[in-house]
Amino acid sequence: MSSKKPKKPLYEQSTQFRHWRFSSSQLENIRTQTNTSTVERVKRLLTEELTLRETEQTDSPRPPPEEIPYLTADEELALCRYYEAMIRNFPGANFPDEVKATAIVYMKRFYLRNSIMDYHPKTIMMTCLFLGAKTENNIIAISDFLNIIERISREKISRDTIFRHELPVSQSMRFEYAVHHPYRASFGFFLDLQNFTKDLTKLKRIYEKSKEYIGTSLLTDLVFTYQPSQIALATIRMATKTLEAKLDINGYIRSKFPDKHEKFTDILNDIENTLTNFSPVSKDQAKEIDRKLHFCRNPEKNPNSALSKKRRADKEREREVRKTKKSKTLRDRQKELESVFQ
Amino acid sequence: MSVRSSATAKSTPKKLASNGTNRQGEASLSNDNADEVCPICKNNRYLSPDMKLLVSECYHKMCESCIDRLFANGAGPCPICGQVVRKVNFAIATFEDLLVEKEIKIRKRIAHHFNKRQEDFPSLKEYNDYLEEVENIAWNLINGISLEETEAKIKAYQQENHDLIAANAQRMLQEEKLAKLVEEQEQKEKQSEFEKYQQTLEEERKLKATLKDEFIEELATSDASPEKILAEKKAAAAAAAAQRSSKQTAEHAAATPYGIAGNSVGMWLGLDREQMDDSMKDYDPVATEYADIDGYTLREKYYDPFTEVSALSKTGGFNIKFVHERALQAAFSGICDV
Amino acid sequence: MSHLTEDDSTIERKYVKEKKIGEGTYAVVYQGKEAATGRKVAIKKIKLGQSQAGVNGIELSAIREVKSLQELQHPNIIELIDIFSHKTNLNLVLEYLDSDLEMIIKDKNIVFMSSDIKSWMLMTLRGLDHCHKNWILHRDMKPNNLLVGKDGQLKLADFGLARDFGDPMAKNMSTQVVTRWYRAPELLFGAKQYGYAVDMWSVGCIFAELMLRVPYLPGETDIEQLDLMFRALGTPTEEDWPGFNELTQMKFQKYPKTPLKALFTAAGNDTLDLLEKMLSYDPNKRLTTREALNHPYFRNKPRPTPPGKLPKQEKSNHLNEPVSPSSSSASPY
Repeated sequence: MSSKKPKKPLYEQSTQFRHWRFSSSQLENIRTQTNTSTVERVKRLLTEELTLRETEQTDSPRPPPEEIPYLTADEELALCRYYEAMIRNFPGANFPDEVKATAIVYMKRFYLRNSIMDYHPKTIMMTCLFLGAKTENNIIAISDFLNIIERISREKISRDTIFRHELPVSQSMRFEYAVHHPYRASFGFFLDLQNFTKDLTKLKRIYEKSKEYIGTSLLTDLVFTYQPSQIALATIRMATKTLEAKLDINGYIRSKFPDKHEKFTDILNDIENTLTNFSPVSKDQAKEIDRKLHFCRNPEKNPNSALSKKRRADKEREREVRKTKKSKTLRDRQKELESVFQ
Repeated sequence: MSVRSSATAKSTPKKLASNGTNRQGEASLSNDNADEVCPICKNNRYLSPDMKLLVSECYHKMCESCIDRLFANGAGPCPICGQVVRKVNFAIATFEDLLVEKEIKIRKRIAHHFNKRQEDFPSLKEYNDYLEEVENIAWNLINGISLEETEAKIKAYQQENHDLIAANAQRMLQEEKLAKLVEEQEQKEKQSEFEKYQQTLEEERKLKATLKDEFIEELATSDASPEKILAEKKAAAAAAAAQRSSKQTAEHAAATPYGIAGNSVGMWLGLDREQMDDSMKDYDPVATEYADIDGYTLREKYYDPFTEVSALSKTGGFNIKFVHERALQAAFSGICDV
Repeated sequence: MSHLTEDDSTIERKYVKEKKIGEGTYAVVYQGKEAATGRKVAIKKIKLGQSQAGVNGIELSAIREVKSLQELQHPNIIELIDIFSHKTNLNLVLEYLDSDLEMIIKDKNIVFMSSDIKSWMLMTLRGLDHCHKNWILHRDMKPNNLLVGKDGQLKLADFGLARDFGDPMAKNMSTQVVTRWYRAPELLFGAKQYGYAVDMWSVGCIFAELMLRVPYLPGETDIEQLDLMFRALGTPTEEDWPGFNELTQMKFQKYPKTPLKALFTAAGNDTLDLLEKMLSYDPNKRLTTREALNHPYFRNKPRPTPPGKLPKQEKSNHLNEPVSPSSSSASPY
């Protein structure tokens, strides 16, 4: 009954490990691909939209689809990052760190294979936050949520918008809701380091500082490239340095992970570099991209566009045809039956 | 293979009762032997049939009159070995052979302390090793070999296993209580079954009598042929019997709602449930393909100004150790993924 | 499972619905098969936005179920094969299992040997151990949710109430979890924070039920549940369960503790010992799944029956109504 097979590590079972790990180059490829295919599609749709409008002549002239400066993959990423950062403005009382972190990760995952030309990041951000609260056992009633949004952004958003986007967001993540964050791992190191140092006050501050760095890491791609435990340890190491604590963090690391030590340090260094070199997207930058976005949004997603109207009309017509067909079939069958009895 | 000391440990050899029998009213063995001689006064049974030989604490026999004479004024040396004894510490020997007496006493004492059971051991081999050890200790004590060392061993064992000994002693008491309870219940059941059976017999008899009377009546008064009447009666009797038996089984099933389990009782009782299966030694009950996360040891207590756990939470089964262990696991999970 | 490269209509076409096998408050369950392989599946169709909780978007229980099953892979936990959504429905494709432990217990034609009970307990505990290892509480353990396949393998199902534990921020955990007959005392007393022990209590009740062939503590109301519990196991004392008098203000009749042996007459000492420790009042003293699996009961004779040789039903009948009060949909799916 005892198996001699080596046992698998537990984390390899998680969907985060199996489906949501990418190298930087992989991420770049995926995003470029998404962007390219979206641009093509939107171009087509805008052309169609334009032809419909010409016949209707209801709107002021717009630039031809060929000449529109479409968003690049980098610009898309930047705007996403900007809105991801906005998640942190939500009150901590309703949205603890873990909920916000989950929401940000949902958003990142969504925009790997979707474009802001189809879905505006503001809507997706709010959907992710609402969904994240649910999946992290911090469920918030939709009415309360909408109130908070109004309070923070002075904008009104309909509950329908949120509900309508829950499914697409879930779908694009393949319903893989569980996300592991560095926060818990960092707390674990805080506890384990108590075997290593007596200066508990300093240790406490190191842990609190590391949480700040973890917050920053969420705005980068680190969540895709490294394990949460690795990010946590890197932030602890950074915090130790920043606070100039006497804790021999490298000694601790060496003692815990004697083999693969070089590769390990490379990872920690890489994480540290990413965090130190991180700079947030400025409001101006975001505004600029948003302005560009205005011209290259998918007209299908705008209920007031000529294209949408046409689509709806088409659908309605189709339904009518089906209905008449159905009733005709019934009538025919009825006639058949009746004829038998005559 | 395994030697078990007497489970029903009662204390020392039975104290003397006035009529020469021990408390259970059993006649003592030594009374029957006519050749018994008191080593002190050399008196024998033939001359004094009422002579009673008692045993001292140092396992030496002498007759009652000698005891009276020697220890009338309190404690004194045993005439055979010199050890100080008192009159009150003499008792009737359960066994003629004093060595056996001594051995029994020693074994009982040890059993009181070394009361571990097979379940307390992870393997059958270890249980047998334990039993061997106990046997060695007993042997040493009985034969007076390295007494000091052995006594020390016993004391050490006692201290180490204090809790387990107490627990096992408790369990034994419990088991005795339960055994008694089960026995009583079984008795009651048997009794009620018997009564029921009597009842059914009585009913059957009455029914038969009634049917017979009816039959005779019918024969006398009815116009139908006697054969027909007989057939009818037989059918009625059969029907009544069938109804009764089905009623019985229904009652029986209802009385034991655990009827199905009851049927398998027989199968269970046949098995030696408590014996560990040797082939299960390499058995891994958890059988998971996932490794436990290691790299840390969970401490009992950490400095944790961040987590509040109210006493009420603890009562509800929420332990701060969960939070700590979960965090430590998160810290060391996948960290070496290079 | 398919991942991001296929859209939902492609996935949907992979599976063919055959017949309805159950219906609950928020989901309908179909039996079907995977078109390509012919593998039998169960398709749980969850209607979105229609139930009372639909006011809050995708059902919380749907989310809980999906979230947990995605992260748990174990031979004794039901496999979530695929998910797709269709208009206003969320469809979970799960592995199909003919029968469940409730049906087996109720089937009077099946006789249990103690080795059979041991085998089912072993599989149940292994599945649960895996959940707890991943810090997930099942919170609805009952025979109805322990599905049994044709090969005899037992699997935990219905994770609609599952959630993680060991989270210091979770200060208001729901007490209205676990079907009443299998609900732990701390839940009945309204504990707002609890742990793995709630699942273990349920397993203890299931163990008892396997031996008795009827539910061990079938209370009709929460109060009756406590009363039955105290009659069976004695009213807890401060010594049994330190602090429990603070947990509840209610006063209870003091019943004495009767030894389990009186009811479980055919059970061996090791069996009773395990059962007793699973039904310990103090959740801190209650066995963990690891401890239970390492208990001598599983190493002693008789050996647990190999799953293939376990007794099974002659024919499966999914439209049986469960007798136990359900906290979720009637079908275990």
